[in-house]
Amino acid sequence: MTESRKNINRFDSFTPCRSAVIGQINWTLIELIEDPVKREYTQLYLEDLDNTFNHLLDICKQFDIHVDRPTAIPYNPQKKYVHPYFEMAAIKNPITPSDTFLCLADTIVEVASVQENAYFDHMQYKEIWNEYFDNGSKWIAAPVPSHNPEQWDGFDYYDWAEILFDAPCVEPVGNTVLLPDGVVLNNRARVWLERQFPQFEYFTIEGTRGHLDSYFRILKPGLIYSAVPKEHFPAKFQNWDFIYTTKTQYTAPEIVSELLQDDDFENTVLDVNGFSIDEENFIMMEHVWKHHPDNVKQIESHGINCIPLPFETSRWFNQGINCIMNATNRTGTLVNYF
Amino acid sequence: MRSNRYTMPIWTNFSVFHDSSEHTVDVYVDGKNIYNKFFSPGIKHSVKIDEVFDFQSSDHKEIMIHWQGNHETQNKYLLLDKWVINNQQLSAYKCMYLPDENEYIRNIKQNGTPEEKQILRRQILFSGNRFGWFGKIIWNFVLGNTLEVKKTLLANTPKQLIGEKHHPIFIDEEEAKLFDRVKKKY
Repeated sequence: MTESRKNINRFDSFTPCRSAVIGQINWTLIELIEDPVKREYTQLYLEDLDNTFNHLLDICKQFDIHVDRPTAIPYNPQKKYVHPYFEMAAIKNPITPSDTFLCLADTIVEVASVQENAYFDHMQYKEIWNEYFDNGSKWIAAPVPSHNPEQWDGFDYYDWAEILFDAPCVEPVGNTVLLPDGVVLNNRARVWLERQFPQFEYFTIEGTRGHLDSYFRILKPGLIYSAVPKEHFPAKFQNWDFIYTTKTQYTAPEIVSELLQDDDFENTVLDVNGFSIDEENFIMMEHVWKHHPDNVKQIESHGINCIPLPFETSRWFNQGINCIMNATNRTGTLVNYF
Repeated sequence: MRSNRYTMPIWTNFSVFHDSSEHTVDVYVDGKNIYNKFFSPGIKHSVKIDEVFDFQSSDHKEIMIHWQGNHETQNKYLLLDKWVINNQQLSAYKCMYLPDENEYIRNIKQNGTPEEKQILRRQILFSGNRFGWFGKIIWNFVLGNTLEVKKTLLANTPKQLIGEKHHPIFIDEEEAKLFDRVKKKY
């Protein structure tokens, strides 16, 4: 199928989404777990995640978002994937298309992920990107990483480390691109991005050391749902409104809910990791939606409808909605929102 | 001479209760039994574990609580908030809860309605910090400094390939994320 909306067009995370890639479960990976009890346990988690995917597909259908899904490469016990610094018994579960692929402007970028087990992940998406390429999108890859662990110092990659970055480190807002302070995007990666995409102006969000989608979401021009204080943002955000996520406090055993808890009380929060369908509809994790009604009310007071998505396995997989759904085409353009 | 850099404090407290029968709790760290006790019925027992353990090396590590008893009852529980290893927390919910398959669980698995099966799944997968069935509660983590953790993870275990989150515990607590650090006064 060739559709005009199956072109990469991404300059933000809030204008109407017309196409996306949603992750897929590689069920054959369950064979890797030898202990039958642990295998059954993991199977339950995967089934729960599959339920999340199905709900997400329903929401996309309702909003007429075209969805593609990766083709998982089945586990083959006869095969090993060997690299000079590591080897893998199988190719990584393709549940997070947003980690490995950066959709920016009119280009799909296969990133040089900091996660070595993402090394072969791109193979599970070739059919999708072939079609996007045929439709006129640009398709590039960052230099293939060596993953030599000696590049890793106590906290971060050394300044001289090879180009390494994950796609959710790059958050475009029109002609502005926001980047984290470090860890999942290093110095060379920043320079590489600036040279590949000179049309953007780049800024760092102070104190952020991970995927930016778990620090904040830009809900629409002028409004951010954030776990990061406004002071950490560039000065150009001074006039924007910030909705701060409620920080979950760790409480005594007797009153902790049986639901999955969030113990991130000082820094990143998966709570904020939702997905904007457009400037009026924001998909949130259902347990966040239930447990943080004040945040929901604040968001809704700006004319944004919060759509709950059952995703209780988010902590087990350490993934949010924006991780499992990668917007490939939004209607936004290279404009100045400031 | 072997290094003692993997010797570190390990702490938790939990309460355990059974209304009508004796029950036992065993705690294993890396396969070594560090706690074993019989408990009498009808009393809420509070247990504090405050040990120093030699993990010996950087690698994948495991803590397991094995709660056992001969008589089933609906009115029993084991409540645990978190483990604190080298002043870094490992929250209760980050466990793998493997309840013994009793008659109740077996009956739901074989004859339960979809709703009952869903409730059972939720109790197992999202038990939080309250465990109502006898069985094993297992926490896995990766121990070392940042480079050692990185190298250990290069082995790419099945869990990593499937996508399960790993939990690092750093031998230098300053390397841990702020929200994983716990004050020394627990």
